[in-house]
Amino acid sequence: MPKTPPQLDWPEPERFRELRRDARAAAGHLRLCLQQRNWRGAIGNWSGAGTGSSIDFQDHRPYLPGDDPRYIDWAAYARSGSYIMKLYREEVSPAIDLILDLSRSMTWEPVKRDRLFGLAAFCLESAAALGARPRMSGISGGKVHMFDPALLAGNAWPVPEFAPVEGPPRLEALPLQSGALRILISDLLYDQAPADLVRHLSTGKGRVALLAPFLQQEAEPDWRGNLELIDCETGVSRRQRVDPALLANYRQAYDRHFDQWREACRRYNARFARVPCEPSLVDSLGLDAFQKGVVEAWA
Amino acid sequence: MGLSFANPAALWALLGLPAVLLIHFLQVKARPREISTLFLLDMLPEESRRGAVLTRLRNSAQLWCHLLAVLLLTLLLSQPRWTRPESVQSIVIVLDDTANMAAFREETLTQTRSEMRRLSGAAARSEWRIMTSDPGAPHLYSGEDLSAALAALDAHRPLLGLHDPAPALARARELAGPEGLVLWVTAHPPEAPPAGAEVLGIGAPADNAGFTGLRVERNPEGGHDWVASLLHRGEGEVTRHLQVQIDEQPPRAPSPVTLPPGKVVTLRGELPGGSRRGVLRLDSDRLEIDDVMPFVVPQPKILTYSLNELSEAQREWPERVMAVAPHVRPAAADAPAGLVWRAFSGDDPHAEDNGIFFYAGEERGTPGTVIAEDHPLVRDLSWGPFLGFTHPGFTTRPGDRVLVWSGDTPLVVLREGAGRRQLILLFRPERGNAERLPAVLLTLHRFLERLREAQVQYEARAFDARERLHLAVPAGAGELRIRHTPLQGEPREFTHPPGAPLYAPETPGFLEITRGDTPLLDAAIQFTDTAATDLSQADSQALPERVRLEQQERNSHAEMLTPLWFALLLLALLGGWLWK
Repeated sequence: MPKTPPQLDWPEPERFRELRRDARAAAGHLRLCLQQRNWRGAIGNWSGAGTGSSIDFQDHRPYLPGDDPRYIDWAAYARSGSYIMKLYREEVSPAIDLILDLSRSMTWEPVKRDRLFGLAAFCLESAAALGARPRMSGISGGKVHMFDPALLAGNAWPVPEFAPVEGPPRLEALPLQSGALRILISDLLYDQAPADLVRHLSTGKGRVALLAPFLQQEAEPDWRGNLELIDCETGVSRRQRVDPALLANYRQAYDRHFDQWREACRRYNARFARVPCEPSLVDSLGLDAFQKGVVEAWA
Repeated sequence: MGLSFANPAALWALLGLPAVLLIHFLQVKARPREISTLFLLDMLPEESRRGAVLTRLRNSAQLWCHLLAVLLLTLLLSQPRWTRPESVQSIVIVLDDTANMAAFREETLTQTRSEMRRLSGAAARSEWRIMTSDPGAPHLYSGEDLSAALAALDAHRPLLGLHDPAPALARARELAGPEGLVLWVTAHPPEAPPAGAEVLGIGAPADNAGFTGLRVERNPEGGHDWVASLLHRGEGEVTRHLQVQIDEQPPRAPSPVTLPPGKVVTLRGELPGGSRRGVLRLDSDRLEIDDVMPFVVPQPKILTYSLNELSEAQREWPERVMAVAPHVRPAAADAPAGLVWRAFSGDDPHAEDNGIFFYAGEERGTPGTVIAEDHPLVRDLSWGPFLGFTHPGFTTRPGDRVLVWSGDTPLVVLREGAGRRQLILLFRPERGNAERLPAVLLTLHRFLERLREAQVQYEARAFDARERLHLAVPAGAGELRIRHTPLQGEPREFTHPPGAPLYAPETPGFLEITRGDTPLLDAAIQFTDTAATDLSQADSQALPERVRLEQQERNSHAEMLTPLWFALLLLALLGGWLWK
């Protein structure tokens, strides 16, 4: 008989303040990596996918009626006698969809929950510093909560009004911005084909980055003896005598599970980084997330 | 070197092996643990199901550590010792020969053999001596063969009355030597073990009913009655069946006898005229020796006496003495008397026949302190209150034995030798308090009894088992022919030199002694020691384990590798804790 999952665990305001402080400190050293492609969005500081008014030359094309005569390349007209338009890359403010996995596996362990909100705060701080336009949502199964951007500046983020739902996040219930950087912060601990989720995230010319917080306890559990293992989301229990052989098998299954996520991300050109929960935020971001290009250092 | 254990009871700890296996078979109580990666285990087989008591045994290091720990713990607790190959132990087993041991014969054999087997392992070689508490009995076994020693116990036939085992135990102590063990096997273990001996008590309180005695007496009709006394020691009333057999006649039909607890019941029955002997039998109980009572119609020796040498006035006192003396009668006028009473007034009676001679002359001496010598005729008699004068003129002859002194003057003298026995009273009986002093009368009766016993004459009477038989045999007579008819078993005949001591047999039955064609004695041999048939105080007492340990310690050395086993035990415990 599965247990009824408890209500959503949420940090206390004081803890939020500490997490925000750590996130600001981390954002002073690192930032989200937006350099690798052209973005869509409102006018901003990052090269967009279309033409604009930046100083970066992009292309030439024949003049068409209605074009702004200021961008006629007069030198080219002198050489060819035709009106040639000189096109510059547009500069946009990238859209960011920050998606928090609010399943209970993410919020049940305080350390992991802190890392979830710490990463979210970092992304928000970094986006603000980069001039991007973040939009944050929380999802648990098919339940979605869109956070009010006006309230995210405060130290007490509003608690979504739903209980955690078992199962993987159903992203089809989530409105995604076209061409946005889609950052999913999730432990990815659900039995679902990774490709489905990554593919869905990457639809609409989205750019995908997965930040997967993990506990050392999950990677190298210290289980021993006869245990009644209880799923933190479903409450389903399983009696298991844990010996070294079973632990070895578990570690293989755990590694294989994240190998499948890496493979799915590689296939869909998504960035994938695992973020340990135990070190400080800046240290944990400096590991896999830095190496995989999800974050980068300020120049 | 043989392996033995100082604490073999610790081998019970081996039961820990199946206990450990059972524990490992049991489902360990699962500790709840909330995790987020349960789905990763779905591809692995579930190891156990909720609610199952037993599960399959896992070949785990922890299991082997636990089993090894049990083995090592057992080894350490049992304290293994290696018997020295040159070790020899001397064990002397003294079996109580009191008749009540027969009631616990099976217990005696079983427990003694068990202890012997246990003790035999305490040394490389064991010297066994098995003897009884009867100091005169031969040893049942002496040697090193345990099987033969165990078999020799079968020969133990306890038949003695209550007796002191101290001489036998002292002899056993000597035989065992300073390092040896003396084991006293008895149904009545003392509160404190005898010095130098260990006690194995094999008894248990039990009821017992049996004969305590039997006499044959004349009835008013001139015939004889048997009068038997029975005693039941136990709880509640008991009904037994009594069977009487007279001479060679068929036994009479058993008749029920109800015996109340703790009280002596007297039964009486008339004997047919001309009966010589008979047997009373109770149906058997735990102890059989007191369930039979043989008897003979008594025919005592008769001592004849003569007062003819006395004046009428002098006869008064001797007549009173002889009137109350048993088995005496006046001699016929034409027959010689076995005893002659005389009075004398000179310094010495100067007579050559058996007799009692008392002084009838003038009293000249001075009364002094009266002291009796240590002699059977006056032993334990109080001559001190004697008041009277002695005869100071009497001079003792060689061979005379002064029995009582008055100051430094003889008062009573025994003169024996040359086929005569004379008791010389150096006082005037009618004076002083001699006629009223019990010591005087008892001394005279003892003397009469001595004369009667020494008389060569046919006699029929009962004896206790193993009682010394004082048989009067004429000097120069040939060998005695003895026929012993036990109540169980075949009669036995043998000869006996006349001068040698003669004892009644150990077992109840009949004894006939003849010399040539002349019968001398018909006797019934009875067992009447009631103290020896009392089973109510019997008790058991196990041989202390300390005894075996001491023997073992004396003949062995401890296991050298104990520290190693201890270290291994710690490692096994540590391993069992680590390899969960």
